[in-house]
Amino acid sequence: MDIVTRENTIYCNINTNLVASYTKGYIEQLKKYLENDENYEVLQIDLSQTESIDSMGITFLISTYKTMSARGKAVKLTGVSEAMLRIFKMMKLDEVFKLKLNY
Amino acid sequence: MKSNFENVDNVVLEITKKLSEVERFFPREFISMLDFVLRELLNNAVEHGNNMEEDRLVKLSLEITNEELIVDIYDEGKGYNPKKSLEKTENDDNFRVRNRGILSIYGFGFEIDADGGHTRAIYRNV
Repeated sequence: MDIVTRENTIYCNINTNLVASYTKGYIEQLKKYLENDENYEVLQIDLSQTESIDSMGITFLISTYKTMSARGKAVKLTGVSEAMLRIFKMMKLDEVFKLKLNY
Repeated sequence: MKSNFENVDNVVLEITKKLSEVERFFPREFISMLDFVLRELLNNAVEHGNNMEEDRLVKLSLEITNEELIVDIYDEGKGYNPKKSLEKTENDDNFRVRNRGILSIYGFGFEIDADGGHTRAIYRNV
């Protein structure tokens, strides 16, 4: 996962599938980054390179959303594929995240 | 396969790649659904069935006919009641952090049964 801050937004680019084999590492990576950066209003997670997601990946997104909300920060998801949107809709999560779709 | 999440990823990628090669039989929507379901079932077997003990094995069998899709997962655990997971999650909100895997599989229209270390998920009207 690549993370960079530009102006008031932290951009996270997930460059793998968002699945169990990667999410633990991403949680720690993001936690460490956020410890050193308070000057942001929005956390934007780009999923355009992510083809597959599992419940641990969804848990990563939800727990990130909850953490950011508690800090008064916004979370946006971009590059969400049609397949992933179907999963979000089934879980009624599509209304929560500010989504920009891949298509 | 040995019980780790990297193996889950590799197995699912291999299966979905093969199915994608015959896309006229398996549309993308079906394959992405199967991708998710297989990951959930295998992750369950690795994490809960085999307690992340890598030397414990997980076996997967996948059968697709005109009428149904049957997934059989075998792990070395004692088993669980998938319907209990469903009861637990029905009382929770959408922002719960855990326990969404099994509910999602039901949400896709699968029936799930478990007996000891064997879990079977069936999808009809393929």
